[in-house]
Amino acid sequence: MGILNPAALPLLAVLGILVLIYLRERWRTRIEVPSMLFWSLVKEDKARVRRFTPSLLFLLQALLLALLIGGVLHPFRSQIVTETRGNRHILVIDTSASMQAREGRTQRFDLARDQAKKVVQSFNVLDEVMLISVSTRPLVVSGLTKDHLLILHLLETLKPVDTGTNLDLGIELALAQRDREGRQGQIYVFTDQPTNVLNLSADKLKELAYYRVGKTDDNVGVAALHLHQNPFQSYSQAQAYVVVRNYAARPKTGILTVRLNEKQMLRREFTLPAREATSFSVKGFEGPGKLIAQIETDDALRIDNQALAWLAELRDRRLVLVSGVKGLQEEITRVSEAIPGLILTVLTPERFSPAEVRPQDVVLFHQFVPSATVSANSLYVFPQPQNPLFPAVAEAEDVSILDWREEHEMLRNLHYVDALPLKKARVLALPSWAQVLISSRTKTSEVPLAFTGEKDGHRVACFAFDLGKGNLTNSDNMTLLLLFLNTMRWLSPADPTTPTLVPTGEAFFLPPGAGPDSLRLLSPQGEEQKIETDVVEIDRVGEYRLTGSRYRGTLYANLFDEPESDIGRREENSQPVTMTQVAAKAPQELTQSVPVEFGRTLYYGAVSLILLEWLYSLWRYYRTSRA
Amino acid sequence: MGVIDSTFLRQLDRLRVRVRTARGLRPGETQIPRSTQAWGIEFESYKEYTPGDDFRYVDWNAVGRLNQLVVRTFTAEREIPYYLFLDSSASMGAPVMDQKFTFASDLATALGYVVVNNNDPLRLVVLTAPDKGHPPFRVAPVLRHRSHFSRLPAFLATLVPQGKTYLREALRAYAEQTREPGVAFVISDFLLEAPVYEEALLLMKARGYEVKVIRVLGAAELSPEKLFRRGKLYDVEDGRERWISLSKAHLQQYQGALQAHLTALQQFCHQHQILYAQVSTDTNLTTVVSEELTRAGLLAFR
Repeated sequence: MGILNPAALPLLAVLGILVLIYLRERWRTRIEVPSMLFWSLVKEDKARVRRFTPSLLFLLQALLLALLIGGVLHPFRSQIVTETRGNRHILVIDTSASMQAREGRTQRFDLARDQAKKVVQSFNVLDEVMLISVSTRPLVVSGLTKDHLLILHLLETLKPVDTGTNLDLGIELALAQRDREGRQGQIYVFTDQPTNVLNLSADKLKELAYYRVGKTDDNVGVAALHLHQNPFQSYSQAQAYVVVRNYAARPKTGILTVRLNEKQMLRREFTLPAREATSFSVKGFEGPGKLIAQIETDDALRIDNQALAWLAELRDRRLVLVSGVKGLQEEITRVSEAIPGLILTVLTPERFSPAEVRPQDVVLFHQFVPSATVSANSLYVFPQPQNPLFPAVAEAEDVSILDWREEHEMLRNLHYVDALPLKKARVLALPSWAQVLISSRTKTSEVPLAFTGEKDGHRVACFAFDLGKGNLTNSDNMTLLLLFLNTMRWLSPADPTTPTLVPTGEAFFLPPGAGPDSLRLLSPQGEEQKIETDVVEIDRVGEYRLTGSRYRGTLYANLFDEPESDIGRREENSQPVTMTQVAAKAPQELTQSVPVEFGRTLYYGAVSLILLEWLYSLWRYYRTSRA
Repeated sequence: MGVIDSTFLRQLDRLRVRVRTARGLRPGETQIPRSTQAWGIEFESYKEYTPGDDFRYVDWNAVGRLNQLVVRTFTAEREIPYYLFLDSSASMGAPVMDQKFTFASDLATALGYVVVNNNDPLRLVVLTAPDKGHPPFRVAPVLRHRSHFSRLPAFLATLVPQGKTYLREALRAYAEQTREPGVAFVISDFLLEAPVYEEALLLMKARGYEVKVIRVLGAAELSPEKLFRRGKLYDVEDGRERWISLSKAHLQQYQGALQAHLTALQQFCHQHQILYAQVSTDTNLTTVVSEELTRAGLLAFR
């Protein structure tokens, strides 16, 4: 016995309320007598009279309430039941890019699907089946169902995508689903991956029925397309490198073609020894546009035979320097003159107004923080102690750099960050939106020396130290100059017309304000779909187009995934690949204790009680009327 | 008319009020035993002729035998004035389940029928509480004939039991203003201290009324355990409250006090030759009228 809804227990207080109502009624109710003549002799007993004594009516009403509350509590009693129950089976099928590899006249995925179908057809009719597909993320295609035809149909509708795989996660999900209700079940894995690439314990591996498909390793693919062009370089200065890798265990030949806006820039035949790679350099581009690197070869996997990149046009960028220090103005002027496409505007803090700044500018505030918000990416250098953004807590001298985030774009190629000359710095209060880039430490806390973040939709960087006179262009302080240039590059806003490069399997987040309303996505296969969320899943290589009333954009999706392209992965251990076969199990007779709720019975009891009361009062009424 | 239907009235036709001493001044249909008059129907005795006697009533046969002038005299026939004093205080209406006042009204109706059926005058006097200078009673129009009977239940239907009991004051006030005493039925629960009702009844007797007392009791009064076990009692007349838990001992105390009160009234009536009847509301009215009141000597069969 127990209850399923203990939250309704406070309702029992209603019984107490009923007692109070009765007590109140008793205290309030007067019994009219014709005279106190005879009662004045009888001793008064207030305490006994006021005491609660249940009457038949009270007991009936309490019973009625108890029945109703009992119903709300959802009481249950345990009942031993024996049922015939089928076994549980969970199918995990790999839908990653490598499953598209051709095996003779068919695809690996078709082989896996055929095996999965055979397995499903061998199940007993009472067996429950779940289907999970795995690419970069697992997806429960169907929950546990006895409808085997539905599973077969869903298997037919599955297609492999152009992404990597995370089979471990899929198997972990299957294991979790299997153990969720404490019932055992069999997990079947259909993939082209060897078991040794899985990060699963040997015990878990033993529990799997592992069906590995695919034997060929015949694949040549574009392993990388690097385009070297910084924001201050024109397309003519850009240089592209195409890396082509042979994943087969035998030499392969092919032709690499590089086209810019469909115009051929390079066509080169190549022969690659077994499991070797080579790179091709392309430069001297004549204009901006779409760059395609494509190889023509006879291999099993086609989707990695092409890669896309975008060659950007050089745009003039304006740096607005707001500083009252003449020495710094001169140094920044010298630096800007050396950077093509960078236009410098120098303002003193007194002459600065937010209206002077355009969204595509970069603003450098030196020892000055404006009170109004600036609608552009900005760098604050050595802000004055009293300022609204980063109030100074203390002053520091001869600070040593102890930590930095070397993966950040602003510190790229900076090997000697700790060599920055920091004679004087301010200890600034770190805003909530900022992340520390370079830091030192005191005995008690971290001291941020440089930090970055995004505020009001614009990038913000802040140096807590000063770019003193002669520091920036001094040949001894190359680290500082590189940090400054990297910062300018990081702060330079991206060209909204430039396509975004996204690896397949990753999600593209729509920029703020773009919104999914009326936004449509045209996939590389030419399929158009409406975007419902702020995230676009990229699972095909090629060019995606986003069109909407508030946003237009292009995405280039490439598959640079060596494990996926290496379709002939072999077991590194000496164990041979074995196809585990699981014999079909008969349905099991299961005896278990199940809770049987009887709240409804209590409701019926309450209704019956009311009916009986009503009939009784009706009978009494008729009897009285007749009398 | 409630329980008073034609069958019941036919039963009442067989009854009359037993009268001992009361008589009226007007000639009527009630023969007064041992009382003579010079004319009439029922021969009573002879008397010596005196000048002025009606010659028509000289019995010549007796003159022949006795050689003396004798005149026949007859049994006197007078009308008897009846008074029904009905207590309408709040105590007659409580407890509600007893319906004492309804019962008393029906009883008064039945007695009224018996009276007017004999062509005697009937006055219904309702004992109430004094109100703005008015006396503590209400008097219904005199009923002199059977055909007037229907006015009685109509008048009784307008009454509602309310206010305190002013039995003594009401009877005194009415007796003082009435010149012709008669038979007085006093219908009440008599829930008063003994000196109060004794004074009232003695006063009536002193004024020449032939008093007949009918005490109406409710079933819940006789057995209060039917009414409650525990509770706050409320006196409907003076508003007093009392918390009572009805244990056996308490019940015995109550019954003792009630019985003493009943006995006191009964003994008082017996001592002062007042006919007394005690009726309970749970008894059938027919039984009360035809059996209990006749047994008590208030009524008799014709």
